[in-house]
Amino acid sequence: MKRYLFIISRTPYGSTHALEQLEAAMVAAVFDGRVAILCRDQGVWNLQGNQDGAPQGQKTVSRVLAALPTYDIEELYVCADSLSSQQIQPDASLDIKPLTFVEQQSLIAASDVVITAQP
Amino acid sequence: MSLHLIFSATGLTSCTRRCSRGDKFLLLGDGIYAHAQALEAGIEPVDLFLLAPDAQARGVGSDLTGTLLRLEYPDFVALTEQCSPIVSWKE
Repeated sequence: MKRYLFIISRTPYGSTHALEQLEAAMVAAVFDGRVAILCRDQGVWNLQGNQDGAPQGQKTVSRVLAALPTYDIEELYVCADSLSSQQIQPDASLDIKPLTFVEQQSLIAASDVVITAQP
Repeated sequence: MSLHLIFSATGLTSCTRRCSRGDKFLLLGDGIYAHAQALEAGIEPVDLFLLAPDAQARGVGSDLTGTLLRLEYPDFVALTEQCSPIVSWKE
């Protein structure tokens, strides 16, 4: 089984980056990939609680994240350094695992495919 | 061995925090401007490459001949065949 890592590095709602990454991740999981997601830098804002995408006419990103286990995506990681440098109150319904830089190195090196959707 | 595609100076910083020893690094686009920063960050010159057309367009790198290898597109393709995973860094 191929190991996929999707890295989210931008804020929700400012662009479609986060939702597109999540949609691609769910597709990979449906096709029997082992999928992990890492939020880093500005991407940690996707984990913030009390989001509501309705005024923007968009899906609520935190709700999509909360639904990931339904798609057999159990690995939701966040950069511990990025998390502590932003004033974030993560959504309580999310099972988030903070990773150090060293742990992120191992995660990337152990992945078969890393999707950053950049530039 | 991962191949890191670096598109900006910010991307370089994000990358160097999360890369492993022995990985390869290709600077392309505006990442070209970050070549000195990449060497200062401790990336071995033997693991660091510039994309030749992008370096040429920006007038950067001709003074680095003998230090950093400049890759043409076919070399870039060959490098992507040797490395896995391939990770892009812009922000």
